[in-house]
Amino acid sequence: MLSVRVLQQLVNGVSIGFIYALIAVGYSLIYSILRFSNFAHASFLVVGAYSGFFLVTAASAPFVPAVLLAMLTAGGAAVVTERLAYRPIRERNSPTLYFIIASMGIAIFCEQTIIATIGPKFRTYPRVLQIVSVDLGKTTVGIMDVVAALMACLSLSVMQYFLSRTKTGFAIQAASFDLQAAGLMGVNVNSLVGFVFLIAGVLAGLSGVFLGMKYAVYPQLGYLTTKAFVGAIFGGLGSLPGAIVGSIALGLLETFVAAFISSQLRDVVVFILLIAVLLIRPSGLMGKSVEEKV
Amino acid sequence: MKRAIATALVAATVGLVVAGCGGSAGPKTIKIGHLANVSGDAAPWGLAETNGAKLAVEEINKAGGILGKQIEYVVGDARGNATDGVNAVKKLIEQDKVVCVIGSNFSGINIATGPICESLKVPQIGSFSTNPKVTVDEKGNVRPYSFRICFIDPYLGSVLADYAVNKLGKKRAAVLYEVTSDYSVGVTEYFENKVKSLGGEVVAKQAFKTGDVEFRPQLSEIKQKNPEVLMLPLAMYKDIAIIAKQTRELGMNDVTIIGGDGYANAMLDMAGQELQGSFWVTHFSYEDPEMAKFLEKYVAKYGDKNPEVNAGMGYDLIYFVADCIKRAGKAEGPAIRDAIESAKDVKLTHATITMDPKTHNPLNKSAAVLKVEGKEIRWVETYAPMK
Repeated sequence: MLSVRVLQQLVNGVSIGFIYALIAVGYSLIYSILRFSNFAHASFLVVGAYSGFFLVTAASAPFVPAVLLAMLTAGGAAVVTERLAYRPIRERNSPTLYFIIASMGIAIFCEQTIIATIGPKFRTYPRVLQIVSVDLGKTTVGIMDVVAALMACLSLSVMQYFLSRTKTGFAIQAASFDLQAAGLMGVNVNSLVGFVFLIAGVLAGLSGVFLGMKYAVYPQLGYLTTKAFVGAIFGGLGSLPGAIVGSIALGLLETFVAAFISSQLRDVVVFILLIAVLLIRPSGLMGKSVEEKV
Repeated sequence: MKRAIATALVAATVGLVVAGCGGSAGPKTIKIGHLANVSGDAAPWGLAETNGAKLAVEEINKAGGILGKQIEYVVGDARGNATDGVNAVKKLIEQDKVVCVIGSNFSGINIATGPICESLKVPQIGSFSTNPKVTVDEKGNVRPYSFRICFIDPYLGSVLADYAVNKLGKKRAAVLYEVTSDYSVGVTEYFENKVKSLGGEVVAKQAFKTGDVEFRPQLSEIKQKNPEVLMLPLAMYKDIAIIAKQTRELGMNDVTIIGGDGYANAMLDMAGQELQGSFWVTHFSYEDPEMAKFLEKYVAKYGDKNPEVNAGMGYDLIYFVADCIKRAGKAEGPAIRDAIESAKDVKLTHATITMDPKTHNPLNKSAAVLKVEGKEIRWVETYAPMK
């Protein structure tokens, strides 16, 4: 009896963890280059969720192209955001705090714009995968979750390959050590940063579509990004494997606390653990230790 | 000469006062006041309520009135807030001399007007003021002149429990409620107590916080306990829809979903399939054949085919007061108060009312049970808990 309970919660936790991971990787990527928490990441996700929704319903596009297009739209939104909001700050060498405030502003702007134009209503994707579930003994696995996990694994492996095997990947890695030095070595910093935002936006768009299908599409959908942010810190900000491990650990932790201890205490326990991790290992589970340079 | 005039004036004044008091014959009409929000944001509900009440006044007057007298109906506008509500009640009682006040539909207003009604000895009967504090003070003592005709929110839990156990024959219940909402916690508490008292069992009770979208950890735990019904005391249709989806996703296909009055048609757009056959309860429904008759008259008079529930409640409040005045035998505040308190099986259109003297809430009042069928939430029956 207990093993069935544990197994089902394990499945629940991992499936949530993979969604967090998709969000956390983009988050972590931007952090590793620009060294700030991009709260506007939530907006990219929501843009992805809404564009996917309208492509499938209003434009009645087939599912797979709709998802790809939604990812691109979210990626585009991220690039535009970077160009209009962050590049001016970057070029003026302003403090990191300015980035954070700008990103908060964008997140609020985006949410309110959606409420004002599209409306606060909850919308749902047409049923494609979400109702099917497989019964494994007494444990149920949603097909939707399996697909989401597979897609997450696929895009994360592509990312990992890209970063470690391609020229642009090397440039991103170099930039994550020192953006200015990378610039001096002949890396086009503007297009590199733009490219990083594109990747982060595309991943956020994908997770937006999955979240929209799993739950609903609504202006506050992006609030889940906070959880992914915690996952990224858990694993070590700036580390991609760390973001994935941290997110899945967070998904499992949340699920087990909610199921076996108390759902009221879920966030309390999770955040106490986060603080503990930061006290014992300030760079997270798999983070690079960054020395103070000043 | 001056003195003569003064004497005449005094005599005239005394005469007027005596005439005003009415002597044994009394005033020719019986004045009933309606504390309603007929202007401001809440006006749609207030206007529906007064429209319903006016219809009842017309009918009763045409049929000869109460105790041989015509009803004179006076509206006091509370404008949706307690300050204006207090002024309106003072005017209704002190200037208009009403003998009973019906309304309002806001708890905050009735809580503020309760002490005034008590000191002026005129009873008030709330239409949709569902906060327990309307009729019971902080110390738990009943407010002698405050009543309500609706049931309080948590009572929905009792109806749900009774319906699940006695009508659906399902004794193993699970609850998933929202911890930060008084509504949710209240309904859960009443549900749990009633299920136990009827010989059923709440096999799982899980909670979440507003904003959550992932309910599978809690639902997986619920699944392990094999419940027959899942009660969702939730005010947000989004939560209901997402929970329904995840419930079915986890393979709980035979569990009947039931809930209070947080349902909305929009939830069927989100999870129509998963919510098929689910049951919901609320104060009353215009689909009830009894209420349909009222609706027909209402549409004939006002043209509004889809009035707020307040219309029906305003209508029934007038009939309820009329019954109380008849039983009191005289149109005086304290006597009417006693008649309201002792109301037993007063048959109205939307329900039959028996007043609980201990709480001044209607006792074992019926509620409308609705069921999701296809793309609609249809009325099934008006159900009164067995006891």
